[in-house]
Amino acid sequence: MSVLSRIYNALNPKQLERDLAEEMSDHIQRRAADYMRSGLDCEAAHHRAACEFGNIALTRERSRDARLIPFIDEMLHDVRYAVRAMRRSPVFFGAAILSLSLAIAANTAVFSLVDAVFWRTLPVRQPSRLFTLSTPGIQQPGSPLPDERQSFSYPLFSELSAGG
Amino acid sequence: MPKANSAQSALDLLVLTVLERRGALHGYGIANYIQQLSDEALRIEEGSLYPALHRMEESGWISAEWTSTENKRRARIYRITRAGQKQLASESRKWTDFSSAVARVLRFA
Repeated sequence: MSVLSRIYNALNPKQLERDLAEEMSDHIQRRAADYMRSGLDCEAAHHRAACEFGNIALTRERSRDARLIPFIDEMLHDVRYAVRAMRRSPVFFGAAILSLSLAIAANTAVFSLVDAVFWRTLPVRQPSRLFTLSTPGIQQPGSPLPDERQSFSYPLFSELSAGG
Repeated sequence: MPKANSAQSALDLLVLTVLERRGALHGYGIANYIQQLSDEALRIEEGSLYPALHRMEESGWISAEWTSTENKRRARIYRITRAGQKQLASESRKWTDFSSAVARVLRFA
């Protein structure tokens, strides 16, 4: 449950921030009230209480970090900043995105090709025992044997192996 | 040896002890009570107290709820939980063991 609440707070920090601000201000109010009871006037009491609290913003930040996942929170801040920067110079970002996607696409294509052709073994049990059967092409009388070899269709192969 | 950040675990110990003894308190009350109990020797900085309170709430050792005070203000009050009581028992044992060990070394060194 703790992790879930931390993720929720990272995505919706506003409520958390309001609560923390309210809690700290309540603390200062109570301290100021004590000072007023011991004789200080309202303004001096509040001033002294605020000074004694120290760095409110820092305390709020540190309490906040205890209640959410700082990684997600910071990542969201970075994303928002990046979106703002993108809006300011769309041409630059367009060019960057285009070149990145071209590079990624080319990389993926080459990898898929090499993977399928070169790295993966054929989907048979003993690929080293595969053979290609072929005959030389039909020889025209008077010309040399053609270089091109012709392989068999499967029906022809089964005919031949049956001895027909 | 307690953890490297023994100041943090000392603070946890103090807060849990206070809440165990006094029931429900808000942050200002906790700080004040620690100060009173220690005869003004320990003054807890708010900059450490509130992060510690929230951290302990996340760990489940204390629970918190909003109550409304006069002036229609809201105050956050904390209570110790069952898990917090277990944590308090084990940590205070570790702490007394640690401090008596240090005292022994200081005496005989």
